[in-house]
Amino acid sequence: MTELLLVEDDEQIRASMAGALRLEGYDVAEAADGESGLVAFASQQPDLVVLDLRLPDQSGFDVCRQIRAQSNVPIIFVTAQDDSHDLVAGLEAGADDYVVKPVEPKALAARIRALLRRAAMHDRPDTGATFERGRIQLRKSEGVAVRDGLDVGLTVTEFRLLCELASHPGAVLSREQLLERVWGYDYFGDSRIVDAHVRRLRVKIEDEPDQPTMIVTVRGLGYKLSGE
Amino acid sequence: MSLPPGAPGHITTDPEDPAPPRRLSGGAKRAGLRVRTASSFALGALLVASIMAGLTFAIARAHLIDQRESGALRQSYLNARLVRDALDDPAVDVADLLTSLRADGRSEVAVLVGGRWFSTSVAVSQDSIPASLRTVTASEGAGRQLITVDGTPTLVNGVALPGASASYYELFPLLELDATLSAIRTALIVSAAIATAVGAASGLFVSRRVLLPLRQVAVTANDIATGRIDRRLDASGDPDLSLLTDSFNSMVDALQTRIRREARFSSDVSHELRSPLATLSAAIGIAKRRRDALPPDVGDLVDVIDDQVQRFQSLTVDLLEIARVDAGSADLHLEQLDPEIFVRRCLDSYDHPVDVVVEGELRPVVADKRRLRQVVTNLVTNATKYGGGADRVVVSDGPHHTIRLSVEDRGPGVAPEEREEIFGRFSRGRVATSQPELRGSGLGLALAREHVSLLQGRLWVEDREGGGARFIIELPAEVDGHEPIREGLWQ
Repeated sequence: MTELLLVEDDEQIRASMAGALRLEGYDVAEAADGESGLVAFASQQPDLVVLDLRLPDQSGFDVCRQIRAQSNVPIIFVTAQDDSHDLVAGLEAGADDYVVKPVEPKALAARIRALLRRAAMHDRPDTGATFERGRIQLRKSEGVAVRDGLDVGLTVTEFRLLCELASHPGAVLSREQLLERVWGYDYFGDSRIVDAHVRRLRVKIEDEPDQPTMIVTVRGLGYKLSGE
Repeated sequence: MSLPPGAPGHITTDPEDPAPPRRLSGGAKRAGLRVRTASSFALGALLVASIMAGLTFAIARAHLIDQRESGALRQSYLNARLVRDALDDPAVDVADLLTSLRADGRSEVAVLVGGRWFSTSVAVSQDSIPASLRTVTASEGAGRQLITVDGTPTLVNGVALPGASASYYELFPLLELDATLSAIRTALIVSAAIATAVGAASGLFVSRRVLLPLRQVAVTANDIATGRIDRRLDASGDPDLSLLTDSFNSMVDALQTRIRREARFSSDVSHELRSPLATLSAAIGIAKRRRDALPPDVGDLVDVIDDQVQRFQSLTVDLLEIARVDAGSADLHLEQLDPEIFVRRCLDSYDHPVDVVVEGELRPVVADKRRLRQVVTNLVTNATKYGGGADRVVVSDGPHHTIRLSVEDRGPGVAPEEREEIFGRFSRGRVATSQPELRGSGLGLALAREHVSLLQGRLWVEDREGGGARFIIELPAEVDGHEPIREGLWQ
């Protein structure tokens, strides 16, 4: 059974969210603050984490970073609508996706399903092919990207994003296309998610992330993997 | 950011005749003040220059005449003595004597000897010598007077020659003096004119300088009125203007604090309402999924509660969003969008088929997808509720590099007097009021208008030809060769 960890300080919201997720068929572990969330994460090893960014003891961003430091587990954070700062910071901290308050159980369940599907593909990649560019080797069969022989530690979403770009080298993929193919969003998905993941990906695989040579921005159109 | 009607940025009801952007108040008045200042300066300069010129002229004239007089006087006494000595000889020819006197040739002499007049020139006769001078000369022994001979100012010195019972008069035409004085006069008039011109110029300059800070006040006030409430006057400027600067800035500070406080209050209220509502909603969701286990009448009640909670929820979301816009803390996430694709995607989730009609040449718009979608969705939903459903959405190019998205229905339309009103908060048209089951949050159109304003666009409603309503979203189109404005977070 798929196990989720829900970190949310408001007891009633947590109870109702957990109830809704259990109805969706998930096993839900609950934590009321960052500290117990990290403890629960270590002991339960959940398949996915749902994390509120506003926690009483420490910021959700820190919790997110600490989980990221030890695992590539999918993370969805919960943020207020229309709060660009939180949204950006949450994605920068390493989250895969987000949902806005007030959380609609159906929307959250849809995000969780999409993310778990990505994780499943990560474990059982479609092809056994490898892809090489410069110092980077993308081993699709193992679900990892290797730089100079060392695993760069991509999250499932980063891995899927890189695979998507690598399967169309030299072609420009719009943010909408990437949102649809990697995240399963429709046209109205938030393109900032793509931008944040591209940035994180660049930090892991580019020699100079600020002057990328592999994943190139095509202004007004989207991104492409340089087809050298 | 609620703007009074007619303020810049306010969306007018008549799309063809948009209110002209308000100019910085009263260009004509400012010119008037400047002209007044300049003419005051010019008048002052003219007055001072005239007085100075008049005084200078009078003093110079007096001084010059004085100098000429003393020279003339010496010469006259000298000549008078010669004449007197010569007259001692009874046989002397007076005319010859007078001719010999004309040493410098610039003066004329008339002598009265024994009732007969002799003179050096026919132009000078006894008539040239005023009677008053003759009287004075006779009684006092000497006299002088300034007269005019043939338009030339002439100084006449009279000396009585008692021994010879004669009078000696010498006339000095002040021709050079006159020329000198007229040169001085010309110089003074020119100087006065220059001083007046300089006065006018400095008046213009000074008034410009003095009005410059006022202009900045006007520009800043205008900025604030159009929603940039963070604008302030530069306090590091002229210390003499600090009173104006400080009071202006503190006025805006107070205003901003008040706006923020009110906006924060509504933001807090909706925020606080949200958590319990979310909990309630999730709990009802669970109850609904176990509807089978509930008695039917309780199940119906759960449906009612679910319905109302959802309405309540969308109301608080709208309220919070409006409060954010009011507080100026709304985030814009701008992207380049193809208007036709955008509209088609918006309509994908709509139950009934709606035609998308493209007119003219479309260019991309730069907009916040989430907000614009909310606007389009809101207008389409609105048409369903009150206009029998939107039958088409026209995507067209508007005037002045704009793109228009027009949601059209064949319903009863919106009465002219309600076309502004329906965009107010919690205000509903007559149709909505008379049919309570159609009531929405009452914030939909108000929020739609706020969204469109944030996107630098306009939203209004008009009659559709052949009946029905047409809600028009007008957005600035991307100008050729312009990069899309992105939020600049990563790019």
